[in-house]
Amino acid sequence: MPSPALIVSAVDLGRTFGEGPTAVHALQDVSIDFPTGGFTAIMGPSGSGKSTLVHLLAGLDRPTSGSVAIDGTELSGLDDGALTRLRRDRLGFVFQGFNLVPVLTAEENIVLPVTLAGREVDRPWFDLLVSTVGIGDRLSHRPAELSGGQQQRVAVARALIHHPAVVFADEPTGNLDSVASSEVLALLRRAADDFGQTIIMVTHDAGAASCADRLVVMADGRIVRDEDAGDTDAVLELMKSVAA
Amino acid sequence: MSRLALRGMLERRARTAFTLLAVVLGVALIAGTLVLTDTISKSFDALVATAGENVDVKVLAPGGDDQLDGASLVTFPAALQDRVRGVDGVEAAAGSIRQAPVTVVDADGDRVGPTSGAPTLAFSAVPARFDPFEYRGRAPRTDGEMAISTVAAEDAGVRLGDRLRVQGVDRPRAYEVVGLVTFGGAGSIAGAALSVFSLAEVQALVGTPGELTELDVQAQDGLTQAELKRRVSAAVGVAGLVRTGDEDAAATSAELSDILRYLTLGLLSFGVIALLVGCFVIFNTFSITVAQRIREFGMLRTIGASRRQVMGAVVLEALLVGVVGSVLGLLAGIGLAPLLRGLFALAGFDLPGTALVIAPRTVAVALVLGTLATVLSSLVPALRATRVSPMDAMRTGAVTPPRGRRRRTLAVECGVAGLGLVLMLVGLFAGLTTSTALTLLGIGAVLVFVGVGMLSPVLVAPLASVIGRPLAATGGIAAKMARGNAVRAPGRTAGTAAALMVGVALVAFVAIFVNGFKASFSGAFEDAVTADFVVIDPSGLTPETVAPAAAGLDGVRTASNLRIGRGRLVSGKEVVLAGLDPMAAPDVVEVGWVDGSDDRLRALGSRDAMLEEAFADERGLRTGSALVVRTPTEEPIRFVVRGTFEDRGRLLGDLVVPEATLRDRFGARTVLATLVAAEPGARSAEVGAALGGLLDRDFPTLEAQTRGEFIDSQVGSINAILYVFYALLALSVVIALFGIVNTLALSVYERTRELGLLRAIGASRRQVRQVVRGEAIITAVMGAVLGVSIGVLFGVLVSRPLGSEGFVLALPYATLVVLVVLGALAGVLAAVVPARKASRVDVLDALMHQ
Repeated sequence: MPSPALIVSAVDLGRTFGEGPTAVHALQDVSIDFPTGGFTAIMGPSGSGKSTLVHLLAGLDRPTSGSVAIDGTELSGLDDGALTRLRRDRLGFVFQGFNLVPVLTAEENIVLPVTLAGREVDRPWFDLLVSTVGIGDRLSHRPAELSGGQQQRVAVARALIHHPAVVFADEPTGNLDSVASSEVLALLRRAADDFGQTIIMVTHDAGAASCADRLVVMADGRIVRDEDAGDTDAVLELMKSVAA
Repeated sequence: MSRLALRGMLERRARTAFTLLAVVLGVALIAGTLVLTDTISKSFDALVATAGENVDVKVLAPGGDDQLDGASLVTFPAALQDRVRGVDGVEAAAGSIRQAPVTVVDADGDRVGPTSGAPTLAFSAVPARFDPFEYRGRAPRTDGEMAISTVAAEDAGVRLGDRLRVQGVDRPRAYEVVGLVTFGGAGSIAGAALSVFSLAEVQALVGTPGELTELDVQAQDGLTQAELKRRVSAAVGVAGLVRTGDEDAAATSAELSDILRYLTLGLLSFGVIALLVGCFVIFNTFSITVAQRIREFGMLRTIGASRRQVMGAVVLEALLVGVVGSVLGLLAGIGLAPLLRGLFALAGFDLPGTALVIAPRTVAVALVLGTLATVLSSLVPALRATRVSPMDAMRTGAVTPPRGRRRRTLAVECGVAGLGLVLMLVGLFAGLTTSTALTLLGIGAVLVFVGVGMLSPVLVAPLASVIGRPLAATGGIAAKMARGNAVRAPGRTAGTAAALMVGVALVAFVAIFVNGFKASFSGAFEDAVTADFVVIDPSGLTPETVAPAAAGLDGVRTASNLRIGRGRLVSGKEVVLAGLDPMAAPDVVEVGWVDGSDDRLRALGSRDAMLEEAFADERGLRTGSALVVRTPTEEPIRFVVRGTFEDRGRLLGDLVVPEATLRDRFGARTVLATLVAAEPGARSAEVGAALGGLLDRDFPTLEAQTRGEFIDSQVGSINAILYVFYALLALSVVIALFGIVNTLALSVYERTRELGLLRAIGASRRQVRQVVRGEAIITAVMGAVLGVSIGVLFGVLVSRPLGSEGFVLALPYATLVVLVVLGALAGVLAAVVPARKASRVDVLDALMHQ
């Protein structure tokens, strides 16, 4: 069986904030590859560099050293406009909170990446997504009229609407109760299983991490573990051993 | 708490700067007006005093203290001069004619003198001791010489030694320029050009040989003015009006300050409008910042700040802004005064210059008004800040507490707007004195603005969806978000739009009013005048001798003079008399007879009059009644009413009398215009050419205008006034634009997180700019639409009572549409900086925001 193509690849990534003696090395010499179709969880304590890594992988921030390639495109050569187009066309995002534009309806929010690009919405795909995330009856509602869980499910649909190469999820369940959390995680899981979607998720919730295929653990700006994710208990054990 | 207010201001520097500007501009215009008019007033007073230094007694014609208009000089016989010279104690006495309107042209027949429509005034030279003027070159000594004011000379490129032609009541006379004249350093008097000739020449020019308008008398040493006045009065008797030099100076100053009062009030009202717009901007800025600081206030309340302290912090900030803004405004106003003077000079209105007069009153008015306006505007937001509970400190997410629109406040808002409307109606229709009516109108208008401003949040959603629709058709999702943002905080959008509304409403009103005036004038002219040509000097006198000369041309059927004169009724009320040639008039004018006919007009005797119907009705006069009119020299003349006519445009004044009566009894030595009717069947172009040839040869200052040309030129002169109004109102619009910038900047700051999200999921910088720009356009167009609507409302209201004066309401649709389009452009302009700021948010920083 041929090895699956790499969709995201980082080589010797480093990111330093500030200069001189007060400089903070948030990320040091991190190299990591993500094959197509995997669901990866990145964990680590506060300040471990997990968010910085995802920001660099998603082209939201520029590395101090090293390089990132997404779907064969080297990010360091792109200007702001090209990066914007890359995010719009090839990436999907789910943030912790405040994911939606308040003045647009749920439907308008979902199709936003497509409309921003000035393209036609793939209607069958839209319908499939809407029925998958289960918000078909709330499409004309504004975000303020949706529950937190509903808002995050709309955000997931938005992240998938344009068939992105990879979806970045930054603490997608951080603001949700446990029921809503498991709904959103189940959704991401289905996206990986049913649609073969590549997903990279930052979380500090062991339960969330256990839904992923692969678990990357970070500490002090480096990757300390990179292995298959087990169940919640296994993840908790792993975290304990890292912290020790 | 005070330190908190100060720190807050310093931290939000950009916003504080814009809020300051809103105060500064209004205060600057008010202070600048006061400084300018005080300075003019003082320098005129000084001028009058120096000019009359050696004049201990002044003799005028009876009624000469009340020169009704330039065309009819009030004179007395020059023989009086000898009688006064014989009075014991007179050192010197010199008679003169002053301020007689003439027209000056150069060798090519081009006009020399003000282009603004102000007249050129002729003065006779007087002995040096009485001479009010300064000369470069010298004063004219012989009949072939003249001096002309510097401004007029420079504009026309006239130099010493050049030859000019001057036209008074008859064909022009030629002179050599021997002097360039100034009055107190100014090259004009209130816009009018000056020309100086020998006495005999002025008398010839204005057709008053052997007559004088004034006599300057100097007393021998040791004789008081009062004593000399007594002696001169005894010698003059009823033949003249005698004043001491001081009385004369005081009377002249009083006349000037009357004129200045209108200038002051006019300019001040624009300052007040600018300040009102500033108040809207301040109110809005404070409302937004209070909303953004809800958590801060909640925290302060949690740690024990009282409601009063929270309110104090907000009001103190307003007080600081008000005081600093007023001081800056005062300084800017002092700087503005010379600029305003320069602006007037550009328009041909050269004002004498001395050191700027900064009266304590100016300082007090500027500081108090500016500070008071700012603090008052902050009171409602400050009160809102006190309603923040400690619990609000814990709230996350939405910063603005939803404010339910209670029915009671809606009633209050409607009440304010309604009260304003009622006050305006009372002012317009209750038949009050002019000043009371204007005051009521002003207060009413302000209340309407405030009421509509308060009501307009309700209108935001519907208006935004209408305005946003064409935008959405072109801007797609960005326009949709822009519309959503505009509707999101309706109070904020409405408040921002309301500031623009005020300026636009007044611009629209002025445009409507002027357009109505133009339409009324051309309508009335079309109705009343049947002549094919109007021969007129656009800014001077039309000699009466044009008519006989024109009548002799081939193809001319009739050339007849229209004279205008003024007199007073026994009650003292001023009336306007039109003088027509009874036999010729029916060929050139069409009188709208109510009771009368052209035949009756032809039979009009020298003591007969036709009355305008409304004028006659008001006084219970009808055909057969008698009416006494006093001439400018106080001579009572009894007219018998021979008919009444309707004249909606008041082109024929209050009463029509024979031309000769007006000339001989009312001193109307020149005519307003000569009306020329062509022979039936004559070719208009040929008659026009013949007329033009005659004028070029003999009357170079006159123009023969077709009916259309005449209407255009009359209407065109109104445009100059229109532009001055526009320029002054532009300041209010600029302040409102600052308000839009301010609101947008605050909104962009508040939505940093949202902007970061948009950028993260792939919105380009351009698309982010479109969102901000779209919101600005919606806000600005909303202000423009509301403004145009209120402007139309005001126009309709004000046109009602004027309807009886012949005012026709004619909406200038194109101008109103242009106003809305300009509003949209203004929105684009205001959005430039906030949009750039929004498009440059750092995506990561923005996502971490709050």
